[in-house]
Amino acid sequence: MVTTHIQFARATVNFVWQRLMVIGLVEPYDGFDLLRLDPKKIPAGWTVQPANPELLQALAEDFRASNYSIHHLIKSIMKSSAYQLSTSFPGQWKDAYIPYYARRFARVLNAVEIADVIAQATDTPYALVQNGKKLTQVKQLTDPFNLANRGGRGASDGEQKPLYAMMQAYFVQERNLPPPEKNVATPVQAMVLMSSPVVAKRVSPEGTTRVANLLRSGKSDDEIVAELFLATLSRQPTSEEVEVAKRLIAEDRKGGAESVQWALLNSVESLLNH
Amino acid sequence: MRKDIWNLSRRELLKALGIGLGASIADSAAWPKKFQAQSSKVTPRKSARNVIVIQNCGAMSPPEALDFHESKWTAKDLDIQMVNADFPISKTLFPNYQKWAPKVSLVRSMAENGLVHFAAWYHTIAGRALNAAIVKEIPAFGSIIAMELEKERRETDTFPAFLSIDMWNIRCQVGSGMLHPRFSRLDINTSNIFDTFGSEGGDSQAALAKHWEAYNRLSEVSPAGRSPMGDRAEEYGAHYQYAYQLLMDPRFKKMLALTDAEKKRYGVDKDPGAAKIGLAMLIARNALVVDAGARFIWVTNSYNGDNGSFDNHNNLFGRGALAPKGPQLSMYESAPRLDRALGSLIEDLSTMPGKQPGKTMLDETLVVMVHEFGRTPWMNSVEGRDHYGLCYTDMYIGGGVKPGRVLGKTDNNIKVIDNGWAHKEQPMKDHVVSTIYSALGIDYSKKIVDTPSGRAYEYQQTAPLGGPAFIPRTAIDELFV
Repeated sequence: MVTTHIQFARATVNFVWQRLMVIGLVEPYDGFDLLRLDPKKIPAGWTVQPANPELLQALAEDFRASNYSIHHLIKSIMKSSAYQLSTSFPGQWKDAYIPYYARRFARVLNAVEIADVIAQATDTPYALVQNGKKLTQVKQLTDPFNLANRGGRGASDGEQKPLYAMMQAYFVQERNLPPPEKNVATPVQAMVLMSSPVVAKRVSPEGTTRVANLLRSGKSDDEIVAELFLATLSRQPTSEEVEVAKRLIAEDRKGGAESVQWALLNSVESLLNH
Repeated sequence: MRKDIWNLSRRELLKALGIGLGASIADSAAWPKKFQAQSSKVTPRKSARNVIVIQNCGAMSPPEALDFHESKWTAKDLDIQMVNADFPISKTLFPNYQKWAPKVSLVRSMAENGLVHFAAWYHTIAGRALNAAIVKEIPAFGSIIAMELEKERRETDTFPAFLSIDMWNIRCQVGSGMLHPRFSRLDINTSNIFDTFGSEGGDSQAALAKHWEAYNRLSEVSPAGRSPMGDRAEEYGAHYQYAYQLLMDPRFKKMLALTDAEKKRYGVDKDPGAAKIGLAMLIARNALVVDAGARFIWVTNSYNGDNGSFDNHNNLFGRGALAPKGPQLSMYESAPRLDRALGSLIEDLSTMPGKQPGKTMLDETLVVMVHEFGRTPWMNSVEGRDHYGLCYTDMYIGGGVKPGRVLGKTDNNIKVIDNGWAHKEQPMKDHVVSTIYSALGIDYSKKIVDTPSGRAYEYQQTAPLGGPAFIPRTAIDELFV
């Protein structure tokens, strides 16, 4: 079986590593040169291809030992200190540090992530239907392409068109195609996120959105601002941010709170995995 | 000596980081800048200000449409009319042919090596054959056009130069590759653009302005702006500034403002497709009318995705229970669907004033209708025609093209008996590209030298495709003289 060959494990762990760490141990992730993997057997004058051949080999062997458990692999990478580094780098960054993963490399969220982040941050889940089953997150769909609802395959609710339009801006495509390589932000993403009804509805101060619930909760403005930051950016606001956000809410309680979450959802911190 | 990451050449950067990340963090200094003209013989024609490409997905069958040949398989009710001595056409399939057919020129000797839709689409959009080794750095040729036309952009321009409509509905997507993301196309999705930008459900301009103020006030004090993510944040900031400018430009809404009468005239009401060709052509027309910077517009006639409505492998003339199912349509449906929209577009462009005194919009706009390949001269066992690369027909209208030209000639076996131009090789998609470049005033002999792979990128591909012969570097000049 080809899957018993160590290269199967190497290629798989490198692909997962690249997805999680942005830069693969071998780049491009699908461009392995088998003659350049082992530093002890490298032909004279050639360079070793992996950024860290020992790590690649160890991950591959561990993957094989775990009976090819993707769950185990993802857990191993995510629990590593390399994965948990910040994108902020103390001191002067040197390009020589790149192969050492000396800082976290930020990446643009993919289409499914961005859709579910918006629903989660605003506490307004989707009402999707797939094969008669109700779903609240896009990632639960068998194929996000089902939102396009072509050929009667898929999920449907009142939002499917604008939701799919938003996801298209983040390069969603059929699952049977190679994964999109895009890791760039585009003006279309900004346009869609700024004007999509998917976002507008979810930051509304009316209904059952997070903003609406917070405004009704009797919480202080400090608490409201803190929750909006935690829910959207997973961090506490700085004192300066609290001041600005509180001023916006003071100027127009409903509209201000709405604008604060809209601005946070559209911020670089929200759009990047960092 | 250590080179700071921001001082790396683009090639070094992409080598170190891989295209994806490199493209997202490289500053403008890292994008290709070295260009070489290869030939002093090329004088771009500069006969058009704008270009609209209509990509007929699925490959419309030439023997029934643009290269009519009567055979034992020909339906009896096609009602053939003569546009001119060389151009018979079916009035049944194209009832509005008089609105567009007398203005067109045809190239009937086109050849294509890629005989699967994806490869041929790629060739059409990228302007070169698919090469997996360098696929990530190859831009759509529309992005090259956007880059070349940047020097002509005005301060008031807010639309991207390269606008595509409904390309989302096909599986082949080609981005800006090695070029800066600002040369990417903006793809408009006719199935939902009105849900996103044109409906009351989205942010109104007043609400957007209010949110925008909050966004700017919070951005000023955000720690993200001061951290080492600063350059990334700046890139995002630039995109948001651009997007805000576009969304607040009343011309964007104006482009989407379509009347019911217009939609009916373009056949939108009769189009059951997810992607409506009438809407696409109306938006293309309006994008030119509002004159906000969009000059290369790609209309994908994709209907319901898959391979497109014209992919008639079965029941090409099927009706009722015998009509093709799914994303294909019989010629009785797909051709009139195209004809309604195309006829109205050409009618409108030929009556709208151009920018030059005395010129119409059509005089200044080259409209090109392209296909993946042809379809077999024979019908298969299920009354359809399969893929055929030996010859097919593309169509050109306006933008300096002389009407009534028919380049290339085929016999009753759909075999090319005359290439119709000055070269012994048949014209290919690469010549569609060079013809468009030339019409827009772009020297198609140029090449980009400092690509990430180090392999020079020729504006018009000349490398051999599936054989020893190089592709002649030329535009299809015979269309214009």
